[in-house]
Amino acid sequence: MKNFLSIYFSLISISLYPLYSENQEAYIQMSSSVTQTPNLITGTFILSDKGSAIPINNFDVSPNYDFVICKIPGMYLICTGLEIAVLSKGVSGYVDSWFELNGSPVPASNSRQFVNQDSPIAPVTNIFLMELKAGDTFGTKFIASGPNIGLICIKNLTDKQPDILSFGITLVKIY
Amino acid sequence: MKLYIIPILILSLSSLKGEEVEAYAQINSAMTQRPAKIVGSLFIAENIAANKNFDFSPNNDFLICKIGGIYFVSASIQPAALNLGINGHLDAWFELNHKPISASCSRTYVTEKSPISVMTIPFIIELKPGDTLGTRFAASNPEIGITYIAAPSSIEPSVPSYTLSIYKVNK
Repeated sequence: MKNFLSIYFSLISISLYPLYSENQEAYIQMSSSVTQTPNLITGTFILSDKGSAIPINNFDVSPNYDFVICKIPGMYLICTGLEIAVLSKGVSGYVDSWFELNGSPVPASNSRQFVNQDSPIAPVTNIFLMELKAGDTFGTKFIASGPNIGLICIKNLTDKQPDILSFGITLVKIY
Repeated sequence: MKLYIIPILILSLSSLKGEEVEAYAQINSAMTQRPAKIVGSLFIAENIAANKNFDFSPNNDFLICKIGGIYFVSASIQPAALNLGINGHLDAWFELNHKPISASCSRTYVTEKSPISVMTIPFIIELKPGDTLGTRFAASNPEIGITYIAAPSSIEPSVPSYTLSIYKVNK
């Protein structure tokens, strides 16, 4: 009887697992308050500030805060915001930004934005749906067409206005 | 007592629940596109990167909803001056059942000095089964459209000219 009951309740637990894993929440939001420029040959992972992962639920973060590590598999909505800028006078060019999954570029995730002396700053928002597995690493990489073009953080605007951060990323599990 | 029925019921109910509530799609285009004069054109997205519970028009210019509900939708567009010396703007908006959706339009300028821009339009909308959803665009100059950039370098993926992401929010 004891053996039967333990097997039976194990079966109940196993059958409840799909409901449980589907309903497990996972989300993370991080940001950067640092002006960043990329390596012009290899591109560079965009770094978030250490300790900026608020809120965070069922994600890990790499020690350098350059990518997140998925813990719960599922379909995710990913949003990034970048503040692209020329960082010196007389400069014009573009920034490309894309996603990397497990160290490889994600197809069709790239975008390009030009900036110049007359329009020195431009916000870029990327929204993407992506299936992630447990253990997958996910980050954002960027590259520029020349030096002195990158991501800018603008601080101390007024006491009524928050700083303009150079980068923000949000991932939320939707299914 | 047929106790074995209970786990089987739970298993089948949980899989049925997942099938009923999930609906999402992500489509994109690897084509440079120009809008028609006056009326504009619907973006064509010939690549279906992800799809659950959507159908697509034969021309790949709009989605057809299968599961009614509230949806989050986002269009990402690469407006561009497609020739030298061109300055002007590009507008883009969503269409539901071939009618413009109010408050969904966005405008960006491209110039000689900044010939390529990126524009993102996020929106929430209620869809019923059979509803069609597309993105239309118009430009101030026939040489302004959306551009595809094939693998800008060996370390970068291509830049699609248009991407539409949509998923059902309520469960």
